[in-house]
Amino acid sequence: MSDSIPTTDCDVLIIGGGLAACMAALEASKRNMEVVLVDKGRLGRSGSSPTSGGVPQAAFAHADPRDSKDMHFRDTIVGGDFIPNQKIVRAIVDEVTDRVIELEEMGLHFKKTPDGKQFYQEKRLGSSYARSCPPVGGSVGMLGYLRKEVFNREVQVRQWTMVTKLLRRNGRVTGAFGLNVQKGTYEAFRARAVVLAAGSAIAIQKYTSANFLTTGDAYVAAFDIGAPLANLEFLEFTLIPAPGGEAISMAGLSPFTSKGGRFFNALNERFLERYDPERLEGTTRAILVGATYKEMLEGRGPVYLDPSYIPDEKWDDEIQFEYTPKLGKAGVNPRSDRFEWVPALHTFLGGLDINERCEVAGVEGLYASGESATGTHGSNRLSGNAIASAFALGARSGKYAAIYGADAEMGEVDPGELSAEVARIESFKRDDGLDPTELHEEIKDIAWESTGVVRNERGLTAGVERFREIRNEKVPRLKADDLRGLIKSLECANLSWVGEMVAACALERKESRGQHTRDDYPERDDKNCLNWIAVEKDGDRVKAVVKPIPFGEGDLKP
Amino acid sequence: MIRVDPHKCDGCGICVYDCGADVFRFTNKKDKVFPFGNKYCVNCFLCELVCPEDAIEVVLRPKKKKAAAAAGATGSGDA
Repeated sequence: MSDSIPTTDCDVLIIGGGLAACMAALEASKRNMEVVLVDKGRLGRSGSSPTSGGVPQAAFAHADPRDSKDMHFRDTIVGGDFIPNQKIVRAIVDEVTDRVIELEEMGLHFKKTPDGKQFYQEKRLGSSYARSCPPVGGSVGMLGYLRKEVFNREVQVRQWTMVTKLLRRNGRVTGAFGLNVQKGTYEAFRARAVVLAAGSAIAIQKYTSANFLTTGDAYVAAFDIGAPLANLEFLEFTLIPAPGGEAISMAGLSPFTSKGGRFFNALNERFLERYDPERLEGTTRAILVGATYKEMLEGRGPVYLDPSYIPDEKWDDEIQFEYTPKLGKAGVNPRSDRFEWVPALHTFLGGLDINERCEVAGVEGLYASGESATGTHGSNRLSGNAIASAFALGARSGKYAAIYGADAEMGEVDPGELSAEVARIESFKRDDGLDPTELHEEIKDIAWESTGVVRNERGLTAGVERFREIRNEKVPRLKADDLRGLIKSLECANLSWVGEMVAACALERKESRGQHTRDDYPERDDKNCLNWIAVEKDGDRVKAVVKPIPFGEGDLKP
Repeated sequence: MIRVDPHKCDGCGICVYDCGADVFRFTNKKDKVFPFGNKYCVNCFLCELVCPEDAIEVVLRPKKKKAAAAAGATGSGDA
């Protein structure tokens, strides 16, 4: 059967279609490499990037001369509760300024001060100084531009192709196996180096700020070949607008808070005075989300944001371009009307364990960046650091994969492995059984109940059990009578793995830190819990293991 | 809630494959799509972004708009 599977050879295979993948493709193609980019959706519309706002933090110190790269570094480490890999963070803060300037030179513009000489910068959640650089046209404009650039560089692009498996031989990644989600055809890729920048598993939670395209495909494919994943208990929650009770999946918290919008609860109190009296709306996202959740739980919800406090000079096209059209459809004028906000999943802070060259530990030739990688944010992410990481690490992963690929031999692919994967996919095809869309709803419910904003031992233990049950008993009975059902079934299988990983990690972390809040262990415990929690495959189960944080010499410590 | 303009839709199916919430289905003739699973929609606006024919519209139904606005009207006195 595998003889009939077309195989494409390339030097660097990039999996993903968001910001990090685009940056990796551009960087790798600069080095005269044959680059193939495989994306499950449409390039530039995939993953969390289109709903992210697209604003990087870069320490140019244009708006506030007190800012510096060291301050950016310190904010990230302290904001992430000392969990990040500090070598990676150093690489990001050092390089993101170069990347912004490089993009600016390519023709992708960031906002400038009125005299046009400096970047216009704003202070965002968790930062000490104004450091964010909004792009002109928002994330959608930025991605559209990068999409065109990727096509112009003669990168071979395979859109609507879902990578279901990474191929590995002798400790080295040799390629990937893909399924075209529009035609149902299979395609194998042989590569010298592989970059995984395919996002996380946003679709696991009921309320999210991004679309549901990322379903843990990257995590599970890497997990299958024994790549180490860590920090998955840190799901980053944010607030999303829910005017009139109908939640809108979009980012947009930071633009409103950084410009001066104020939060009120249903009793018209500025409730943040009780949680962070000094910084108020400038607090970290973890505190803001925790506070909102508590207000709602204790009957003082819903929580409103009042944008009328934003001064006229700060009211600019960023909000107008990205958010006004969406909010306008709900009948809200974001200049003057108060509207509700609810907690929702924003980013995964965990992922593949990489080093500062983006190499995945233990698997030669495999590189990761963007949301697929961990070590960049710790337990809580500063607003704007995800884009900074996608810029800097995305480019780095492309660069180092190209350097590795220049000397490496073409990976060999075992035809038996391909036919086994085809057989696995074909085994989902059946005419009656459970509806995969309904199962996805069930997975989302379990994830929200067990690994939502506040967790406890009972809920997490039940979560682990229920995800296992779903994988072992319900996934094999799914009905995949058409292609859409088949894709959805594969996604449900992936989500059941990711759900168990998140619950297992959260169960192991017996403290509250950053975005991981447990009501049975409400305090941060630096003595016993200053470590990473990794997941390993143990038969058909997930095993959580404690790992030391990769502290280097001279690193910041609590 | 999603609305698909049947006059504009040419049945390319991009939304069917891109929507992670599984809202869109092909019609029996496979020449158009329609929002079969509206109850799963999370208002991420991805379909509006990817539709090459501009045929899709996300329609939000404000349930308590008046109440929210009223709270706002009484709420700026403590500034």
